[in-house]
Amino acid sequence: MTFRMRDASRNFLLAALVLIAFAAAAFKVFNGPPQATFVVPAVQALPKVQLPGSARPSGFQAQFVSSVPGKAVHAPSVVELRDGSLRAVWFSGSREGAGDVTVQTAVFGKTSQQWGPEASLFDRVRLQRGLQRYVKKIGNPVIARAPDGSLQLWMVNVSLGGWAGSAITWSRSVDDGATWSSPRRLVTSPFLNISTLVKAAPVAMTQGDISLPVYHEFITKFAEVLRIDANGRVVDKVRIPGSRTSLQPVVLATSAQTAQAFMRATRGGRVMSSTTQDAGQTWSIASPIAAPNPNSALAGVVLQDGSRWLALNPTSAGREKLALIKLDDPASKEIAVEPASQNKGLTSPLTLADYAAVLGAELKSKGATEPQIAAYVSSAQRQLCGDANCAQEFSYPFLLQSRDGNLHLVYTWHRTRIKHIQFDLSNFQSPGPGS
Amino acid sequence: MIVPSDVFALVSVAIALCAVAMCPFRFWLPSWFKGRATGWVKAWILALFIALLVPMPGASIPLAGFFRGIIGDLSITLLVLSVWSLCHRLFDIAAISKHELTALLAVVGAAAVLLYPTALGWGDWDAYRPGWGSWWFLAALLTLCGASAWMGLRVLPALVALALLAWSVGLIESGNLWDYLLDPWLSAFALGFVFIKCWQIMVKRFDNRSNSRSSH
Repeated sequence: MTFRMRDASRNFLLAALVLIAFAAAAFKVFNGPPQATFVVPAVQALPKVQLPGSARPSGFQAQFVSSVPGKAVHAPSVVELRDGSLRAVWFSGSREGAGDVTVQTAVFGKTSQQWGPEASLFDRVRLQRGLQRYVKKIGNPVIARAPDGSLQLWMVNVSLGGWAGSAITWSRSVDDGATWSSPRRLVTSPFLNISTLVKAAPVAMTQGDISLPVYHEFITKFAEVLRIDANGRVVDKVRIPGSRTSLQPVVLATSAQTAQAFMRATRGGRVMSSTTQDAGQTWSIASPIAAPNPNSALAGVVLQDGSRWLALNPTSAGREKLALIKLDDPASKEIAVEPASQNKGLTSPLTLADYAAVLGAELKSKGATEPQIAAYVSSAQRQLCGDANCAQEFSYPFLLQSRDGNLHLVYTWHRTRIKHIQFDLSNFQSPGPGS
Repeated sequence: MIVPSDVFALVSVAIALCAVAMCPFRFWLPSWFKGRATGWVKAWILALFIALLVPMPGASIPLAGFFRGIIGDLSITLLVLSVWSLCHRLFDIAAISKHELTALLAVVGAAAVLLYPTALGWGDWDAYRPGWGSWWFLAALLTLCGASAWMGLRVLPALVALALLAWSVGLIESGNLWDYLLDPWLSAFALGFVFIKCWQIMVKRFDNRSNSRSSH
């Protein structure tokens, strides 16, 4: 009798626990984030800025962003600050994936039109302390302005293995990048939360949400889009179907409901694309478009006039050319960005001597001293040269339109410097990026 | 400043590692020891627990943080099983019955077979997505709890309920319900357990057939 009563009370307690738990979970689902739509264009989040006439670039202006010689640098991104300046971030270290890699930053003055000195934002130890977990290496920082006006920085970090073991960590700044919050991780995968990487700019959504294009590399590859709420938490994740050979999606929103994703293709040699008609709830099956892709990252932007631009390596192999193309306009021509005029006549691959001469000439024209040139060239040769030849590399572009209407392109220059090109589209006549 | 979800995750890792550390006492020590916990064993587990959570000199994180970086955050299910296992071995609390454990691990194994391949890219459908809040996922769990109760199981519905409560208040870093229900380590253990059970059943059937043939 006592046994039966004890059994009955246990069953009652269990039933009560289950009921309370399901009621709490149902309350959470019921109060979950409602459907959000894209905010287009995101650049309108801040008031328009007009540069003084003397400070306006004429047509095309190229500068180096990074300024520490001898480092391996990669994966830049850039955001406009409240005063019209730009802040770029990238990773830098002795080599990609090394424990000494840090996320670096520099500011491009609105009136000076010059990049300031670079500073370190995050290193492995700071990330480790903030995340309360072991961090082996960091990479790919992406900076953007959130709908609430704060700056958000997402970066890849690895605790175990190679880049396929990556997770995404983020931090927020409410003072335009002067200080940053303690880093937090995005949990995006049930398998040890590994293999979600970020490369491209997010798209702002209503209710303060963000659509962040990401990709997966472990076992197989595919592209996904995260929906992140105003508190920085992942609230949904949508896989782009048929993207099993695609990486590094770039999402260009054209209306509240429609957007197109463009992806790096690991096979096939052409940019992959997918579209959504329901603000990212579902995506069409990925398919190739006409633009070539040599398995390299691309960037995209929707300008204030609604035109869409991509920055990419316009070949089916190699990263030795970089260009801008305007989408939806068959009459427009590709704008060649790299190689610069110094090495246009040279055949690829370059000999070690030619490569050093080409890099040295451009570095010298931008004011580098001889010891600095030697350090930059040595770093580039270490990463991009074999015993006799070197492959030039202009990669990982990132595009931004500032409120003054100018288009900004930042990219990795020979893995040894980050380069910034500013186009005044109203005054831009010919490609001539010979610097 | 350590946030509560980090504290919870570090404590979870420390508890799970302590539960694993108890295994040698069960399997490799003399038979007279099995099922008993002497004072020094309790002291050793307590010392290990503290050592895992105290920040190491010269390091920015405690030892549990290094393990957390490698093994990830643990599910509520694995945490409760670890606590139960520790309490059973240290304080003679009743163990989970074999019937309950088999049912639980079979369900975890089946869920793992559905979740991990699809989440890691097998096809375009991702079973992980409903974990961010879906009515049909809740309905499936409610059905599972109802079926378990009808079969006389208590542990499985209790663990689902605890995971749901933890998810509702956001106890761990993840916002996805799947991460509260299971994790790769629990899944690997469950799949191994199910595989061995199936193997044992097959061997038993084979033996029975052989015996019945020889008796004819």
